[in-house]
Amino acid sequence: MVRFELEKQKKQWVVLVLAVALLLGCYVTTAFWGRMDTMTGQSLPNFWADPALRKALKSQRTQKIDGVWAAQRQQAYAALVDAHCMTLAESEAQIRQLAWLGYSAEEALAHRYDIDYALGVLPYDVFQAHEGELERLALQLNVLVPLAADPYGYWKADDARTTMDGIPRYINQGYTEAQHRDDCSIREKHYRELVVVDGYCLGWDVLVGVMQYLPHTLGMALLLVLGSLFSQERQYAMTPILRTAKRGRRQLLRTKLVLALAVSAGLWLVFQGAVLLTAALSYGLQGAAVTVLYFGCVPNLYGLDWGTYYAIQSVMSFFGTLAFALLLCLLSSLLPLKIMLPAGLVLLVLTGVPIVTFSYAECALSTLQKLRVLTPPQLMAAYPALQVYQSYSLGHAQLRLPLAMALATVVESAAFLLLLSRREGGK
Amino acid sequence: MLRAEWRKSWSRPVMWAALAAVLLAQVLGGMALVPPGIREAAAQANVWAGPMDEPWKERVLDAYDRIWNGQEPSPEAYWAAAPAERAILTVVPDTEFAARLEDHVQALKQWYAADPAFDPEKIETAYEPLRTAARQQRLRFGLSPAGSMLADQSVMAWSMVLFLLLLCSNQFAVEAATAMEPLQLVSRHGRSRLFLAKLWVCLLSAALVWLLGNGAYALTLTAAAGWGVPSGTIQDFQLQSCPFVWSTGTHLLVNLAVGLAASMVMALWMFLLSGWSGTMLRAFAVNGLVFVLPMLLGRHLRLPLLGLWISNLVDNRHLWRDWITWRLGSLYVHPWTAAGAEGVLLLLGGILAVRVRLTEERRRAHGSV
Repeated sequence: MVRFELEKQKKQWVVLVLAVALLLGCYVTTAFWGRMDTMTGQSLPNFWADPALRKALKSQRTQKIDGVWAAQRQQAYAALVDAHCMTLAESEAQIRQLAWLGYSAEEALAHRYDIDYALGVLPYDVFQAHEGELERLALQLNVLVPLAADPYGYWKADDARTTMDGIPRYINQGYTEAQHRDDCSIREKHYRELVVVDGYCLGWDVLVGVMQYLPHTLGMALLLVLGSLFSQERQYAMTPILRTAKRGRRQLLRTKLVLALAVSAGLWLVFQGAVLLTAALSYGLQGAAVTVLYFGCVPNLYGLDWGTYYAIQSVMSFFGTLAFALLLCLLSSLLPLKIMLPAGLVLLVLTGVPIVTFSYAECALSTLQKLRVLTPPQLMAAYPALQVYQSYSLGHAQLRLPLAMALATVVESAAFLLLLSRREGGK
Repeated sequence: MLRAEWRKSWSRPVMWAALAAVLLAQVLGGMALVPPGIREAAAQANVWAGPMDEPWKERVLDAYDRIWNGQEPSPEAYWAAAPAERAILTVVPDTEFAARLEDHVQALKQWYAADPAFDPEKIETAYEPLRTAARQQRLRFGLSPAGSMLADQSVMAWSMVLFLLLLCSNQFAVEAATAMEPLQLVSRHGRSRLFLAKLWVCLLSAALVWLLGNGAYALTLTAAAGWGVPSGTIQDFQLQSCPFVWSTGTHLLVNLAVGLAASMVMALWMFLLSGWSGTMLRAFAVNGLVFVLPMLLGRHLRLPLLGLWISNLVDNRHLWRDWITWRLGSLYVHPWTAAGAEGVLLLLGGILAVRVRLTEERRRAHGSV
C-alpha cells in the first residue's frame, strides 16, 4: 500500500525533488549568510572575510578553566609585557596622547601585569598588533577566571545590577518575581557543579542557530510533499469508493500516516545531515565539550556544553517536525488542495518567523511570542527552547519553556492524530 | 468571455475570504505600525513646517536656545518636558542639513575607498542636485506620519504574493485535471481567447486587490496617524540618505508606482508559470519557490541582491535608502537602475511569452479543425 501511495506522487516527482533540493540548498546557505546573531557573539561575515581571525579562532584548543589554565594565561600576558614594556617616559607620553585612559604612568607600571593597564604598559603599535589576542586574554583573565571559580556567585553579582532608575534588571527584562526566583533556582542547581570549558566552538554555534530557519525551508518542503496526501482523494471524489474497500480506511490512514512520518523524519535527517556536514567541512566541529557562553562570558542557564545543547535541541526539533507533519496531514484532510496549500503557506509564513530572544539580552517573551512558540512550525525549529529563561506562569507554578514545548509536541500530535482518525479512519 | 471568467474566478467564496484577509491584514498592519502619540508629535513639529531658509533656521535655533539653552537634554529632562518643547528637537537637526549632507558624502567616499578603481566623483555628482537644492533653500521641513508609513509596503507585498498564489495556481489546474482541453479546442474561438480572458482576469484582480489593499491601509493610517505635511524633505541621513530631491509625498508616489508595476509583472509571470505547470501542486510549488521563497530569504539572508527579485520590489523602500552602486568595470549600476531594467525585461519577456502561447493555441485550434 505504501508503494501505491508513493506512486500517486510519481507525476509530481521531478518538481518535488527539485523543490526539496532548492529548499535544502537555501537551508545550507543560511549557515554562511544567515542573518543571525551567533550565541558566542562571533560575526559570520567577519569570520569569512578575515583569514587571520579565522585561523586564530580555529587554533583555540578546548581547555578546562582551572588554576593551571589561569596561571598559563597570566604567564602569557606577563611574557608579552616583559618583552615590550615601556619606560616611564614612554608610558607618560602615550598616556598623555590617550587622555581617556584615566590612570597615570606610575600607576600603570606598578600594575604592569594587570591586563587592564595594557595601554599604559605596551607601546601602541605592539598593542595594535596583538589587539585580538589581548582582547581574548582580557576576557579570559577578567571574566572567565572569576566565572569558573564561582559560576553562581559571578552570575548573581551580575544579576544584582539595576537599571539607571534603580529598577531590578529582571523586572526591566519583563520577568515576574516568581519567574526570577525560578531562574535563580535553576542556575543555582546547575552552576554548582559547572566546570567551565573554553575553546573554539563556532561550528556548533552555527548548527544551533540555523535551526531557526527550519520552518521556512524544511517546513515548505513538507508542505509540498505532504500537501496532497489526503486532499487528492477528496478532490477526485474517491472517498466513498475507499470507504467500501476491503480493509476499510483505517488501514489506508495508517499507511498514509506511516508514509508521512517516514518522509518527514527522512527529510529532517537529510536537512540536518546536510547542514552538519557543511558545518563540519567549513567551520569544523571541534569544541562539543565547550561550555555555552553567550558572548563568551554568560553561561547558559542549564550550564550546558555545545554538544549537549545541540543534541537536546535536535531531539526537540525532530519530534516538533513530526508534529508539524501531522498538522499538515490534518489540514490536507480538512481542506481541498487549492485551499490547503495557500493556507499551509500562510500558517508557515506567520508562525515560522524566527523568535529571536537574543541570548545576550535575556528578556521575557511577549504573550504573542509565548503563544507562537508552541505552534508546530516553532516546535520544528525548537530554537528558543534552551536559550534563555522563559516560563508560563500558572498560578504560583512556573511551567518552563522546554517542558512546555515538549508537552505541546505531545498534546498537539495526539490531538492531530485523534482528529485525523475521526475524520479519515471510519469504516 | 472576460465577464464569464471574472465571474468564475470571483464566484469562489475563498477568493472573497482572501480579499477580506488582505484588507484585514492592511488594517492590522497599519495599526501595528503607528506608535502612540505620533499624530500629536508630528503636529507639534509641523508648527515649524516651511522652507528651510535662513530666517527659518534662525527661528528654530532661537527656540532651541530658549527652551533647551542650545544643549542636548538628558533623558529625564526630555521626558519631563512638554510635547511642544520636545518637538523642537526633531526640527533642529534639519538646520544643519547641508553640513550633514557633506558628512554623508564623505562617509560614502570612505566606504567606497576600499575599491581603488572606484571614482569618488560619482558620489559628488549624485548628491549635487540635493546640495544645490539645499544651497538655494528650496528644501522644506515637514513631517507626514501617514505618508512615511504608507511607503512601508511589507504587509501589502506579502498579501499580494499570497493572494496571487491562490488566484493563479488554480487557473489552469481544473482544465488539466478534467481534461477539458480537447473540448475547448473545438469551441468557436479556440483556447486563445480563453487564455487572454484568464490573463486579463488575473491582471485586473491583482490591480483591484492592490488598490483596495492600499486604500484600506491609507484609510487606517489617515485615521490613526494623520497626513501632516507631505511636502517635507525626506533625508535624515540616518535611515534615509537617498540623493534625490524628494519630498515625503514624491517618495511615496514613487514607492507606490514601482510597487504596483512590480505587482502587475509578478501577476503576469505567476499566471504564465501556472499555465506551464499544469497541475495545482506543480503550479503552487513553482510559484511558491519563484516568488515566495525569495521574500523569505530576503528576511533571513545577508544577500543584498535578493532585494532586486521581482517579489521583493513590491515593497521597494530599500532601493531608495541611500546611494548604493555596484561597479562592473567602468559601469556603475544602482539598485533602481537594475530594478528598472529587470522590470522592463520581465515585462517584455512576459508579453513575448503570451504572444507565443496565443500563436500556439491558434495553431492547435486550426489543427484540431
